[in-house]
Amino acid sequence: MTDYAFYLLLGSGAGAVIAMLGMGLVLTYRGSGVVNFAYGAIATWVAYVFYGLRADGDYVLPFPGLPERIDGGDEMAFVPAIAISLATAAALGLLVYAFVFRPLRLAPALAKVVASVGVLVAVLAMVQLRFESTILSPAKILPSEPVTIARDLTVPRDGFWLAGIAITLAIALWAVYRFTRFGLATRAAAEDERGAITLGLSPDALAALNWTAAAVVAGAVGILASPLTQLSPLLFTALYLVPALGAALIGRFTSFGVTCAAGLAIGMVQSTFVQLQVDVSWWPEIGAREGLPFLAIVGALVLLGSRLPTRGSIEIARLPRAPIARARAAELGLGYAATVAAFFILPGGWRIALLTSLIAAVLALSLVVLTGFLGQISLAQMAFAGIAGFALARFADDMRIPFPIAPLLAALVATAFGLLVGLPALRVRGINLAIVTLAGGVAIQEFVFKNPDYTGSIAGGGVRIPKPELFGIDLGLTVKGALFRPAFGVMVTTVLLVLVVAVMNLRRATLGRRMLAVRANERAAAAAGIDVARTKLVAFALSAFVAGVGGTLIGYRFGTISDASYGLFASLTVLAFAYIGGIASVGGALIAGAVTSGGIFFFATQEIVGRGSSANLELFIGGVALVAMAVLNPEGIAGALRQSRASRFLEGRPR
Amino acid sequence: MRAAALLECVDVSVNYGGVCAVDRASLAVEPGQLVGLIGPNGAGKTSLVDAISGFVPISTGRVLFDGVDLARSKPHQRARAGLVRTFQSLELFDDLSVRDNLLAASERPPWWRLAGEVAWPRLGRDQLAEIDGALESVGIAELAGRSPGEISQGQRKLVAVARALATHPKLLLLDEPASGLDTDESAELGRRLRTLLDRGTSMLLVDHDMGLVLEVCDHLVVLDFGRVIATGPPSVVRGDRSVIEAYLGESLADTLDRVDGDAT
Repeated sequence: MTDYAFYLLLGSGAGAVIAMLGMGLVLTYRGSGVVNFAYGAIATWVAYVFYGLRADGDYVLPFPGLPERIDGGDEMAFVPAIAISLATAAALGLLVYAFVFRPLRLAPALAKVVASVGVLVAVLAMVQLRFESTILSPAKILPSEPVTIARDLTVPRDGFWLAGIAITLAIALWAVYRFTRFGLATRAAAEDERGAITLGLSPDALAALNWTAAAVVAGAVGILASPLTQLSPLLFTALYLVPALGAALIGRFTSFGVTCAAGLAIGMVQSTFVQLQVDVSWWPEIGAREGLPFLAIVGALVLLGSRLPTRGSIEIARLPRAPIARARAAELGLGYAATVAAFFILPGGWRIALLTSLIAAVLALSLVVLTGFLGQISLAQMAFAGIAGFALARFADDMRIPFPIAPLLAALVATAFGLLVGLPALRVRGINLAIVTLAGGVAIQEFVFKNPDYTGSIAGGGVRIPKPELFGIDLGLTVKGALFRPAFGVMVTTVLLVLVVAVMNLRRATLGRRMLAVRANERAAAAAGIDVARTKLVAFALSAFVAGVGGTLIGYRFGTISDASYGLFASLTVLAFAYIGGIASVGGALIAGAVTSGGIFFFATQEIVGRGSSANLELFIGGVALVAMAVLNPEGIAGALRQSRASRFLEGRPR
Repeated sequence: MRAAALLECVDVSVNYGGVCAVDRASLAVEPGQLVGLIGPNGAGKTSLVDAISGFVPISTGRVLFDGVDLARSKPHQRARAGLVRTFQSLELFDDLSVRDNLLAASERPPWWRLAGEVAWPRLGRDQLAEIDGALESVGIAELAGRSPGEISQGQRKLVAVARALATHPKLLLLDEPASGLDTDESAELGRRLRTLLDRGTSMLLVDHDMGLVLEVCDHLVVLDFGRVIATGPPSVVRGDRSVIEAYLGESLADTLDRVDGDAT
């Protein structure tokens, strides 16, 4: 048993990180009603800034166009470095609130979620752009000499320090909220914004203060917790953020104490899994760590039946319009012919960019069904794509199932996973569902994609996908010596055409009407005899199927796939670009494909300007554009085109 | 107890936390009847409609529809069984045209047609005729192609009624359909409700417009503080001075004078 005590105590550090991030999420939510998916990004940026200052004294600026860094001479001492870093955190929190979430305070939940995803994407891309090596092993800050608790039980003490800080923070936050005028005012504003305004309080100022405080907490966590493990861009943004969301949900986004306790518990229990693997034969070697927060989140939401306490905010704006697009044979045919011709005419680099765009359009279509038509958010689309990719490897390579059947079966496997992730959607909607899908996506990623049994050895570069072949015609992208073969492009274009027509038809079909009815108003839909639960499941299944098809195309394109092919970050960028294009229409999905990172738009710009842009810069632009879209124009590019009546080709006339 | 009632509520109570919104209320709607449910604000009318249509659980009592106990039915199942409601607040599907609003409610295709529509979406001519008929019956056929955002509040109310009608209800629960309508529109709605009644749709009407309720209903149920305090034909309830004074106060007395004045 000492082994378990050892791991429990060892996990107190990770638990404290989860607890503190969780409390920061609660603070943000109570202060402004935003579940900030980009919360970990603040911790990440500040951690890199701090360790940059400590290493060479350079202060790194996150704004493209301005100087990249301010030379601070030699490595900076601890105290000024931490002061500058925490000030950076406060400024970042204030900036994000003022420019992103304040303008969005009346927007629908969907807009807030995508905006926070935009911030996350932008910050992560900026980390990659500004810091040469993003994997750091910082020196310890907190005392870490081993402490002996009992005979055979000696653990490093930095975990206890962190846990102590977390508990102190919980008590401090509780006291501030309980006893100060600021806390009382924030609670009042969360209950009823209009009432608070009439009492002379300013919900905006309160929200800004709460955001700043939460950002400083995030910065402190980033600095203090990085030495526990390696610092990497995904450490705070995903690996710690998902359990932190779980802890915050258990605390119902209200209680600092419960959130702190839940966070500590999650971290400590996760830590014992190392020993459980040894002792329990069937215990999964991979992914159990990430499975636990997922179960905690689903449990908190479904079993406790808890919803986020709704905020008494003023008016809710509407979701993007989902116009009817008539599939006109001539226009579709023309687009198809032009794309196919491009694969024969254009040089290799263009063909690859075009392929990237077409496949991204397929993935964006999967979100048109789920988010555009049904109004539910998924942050797990790439996970569905990956499930299909790895299933395809199994079907086509191991079982030798021929071309059109194997990818269809693979997409059906993704459909099954879509149903599984969709099940919580019967009880959970909006932001909470986004949390569930994020956690589900991370769980699938760690549990399935990192398991060599399913996805091949990392040393071997992943699993092989055999080339598609139909009626003796090789549809592969590369065949001995021949690179960038047009045949593959024709195949991808054809698949996209079929899906475009299907989704256009869906909008005009019974199922599509039901989805839009559910999106508009679940109560009214049920009152009209629509089975809301079944409609949601069907939409999840269809969406996962389309994403699965996209996943098989990714597989065929690269020939070998590994867990890196379907990263969590990719799920977020899919949502980002789909929203930029226009989440609620087929035309929007096509635009999303065109403007996606590495797609035809960026490639063309690069060719014309004659200067290379890096993928990270494109992602950064994507993240910022996503935020701008969410704030300024929730209808996306497609909506803007529609309004300017220049969109007859993509959108079709009103009915 | 009448045997042939279409809808029967027996001792129905609805509690929200510690608050008792409906307290052992009983009412019945017989086939072909238009029953009015009235009472002052906060009397529990909407709570009772929510309970009947399955949107809030009942804590005691039973709701029987067509002789079947609805305890285990979800809202959409009740709607499919022919017990359809409208809402007090406007709850149209904003991204669907008026026609599509009605289609979303009326369509019940088998699963293979649902799947087939993704390959080839089409509407049968009779389906469209049916929709147009439902719109016609509330007098808004010309709005079929419009979007809910472009029409007036009163018209939106009528679309909600038409959408409920498009499902071929046996019993229509109308929660304040006349709020937002002017006096003429309200009287017009009353006439149309009577026509629908003649075509075989029974109704339970909740409304504040006493003129409308007294004029069109066959039978009234008066609710106050969650309890049924009077039932009977409008002539009886209207004549019951104690009901008027105790529950509806002078405003009804005025309304009565006006209605009487109109009648003479």
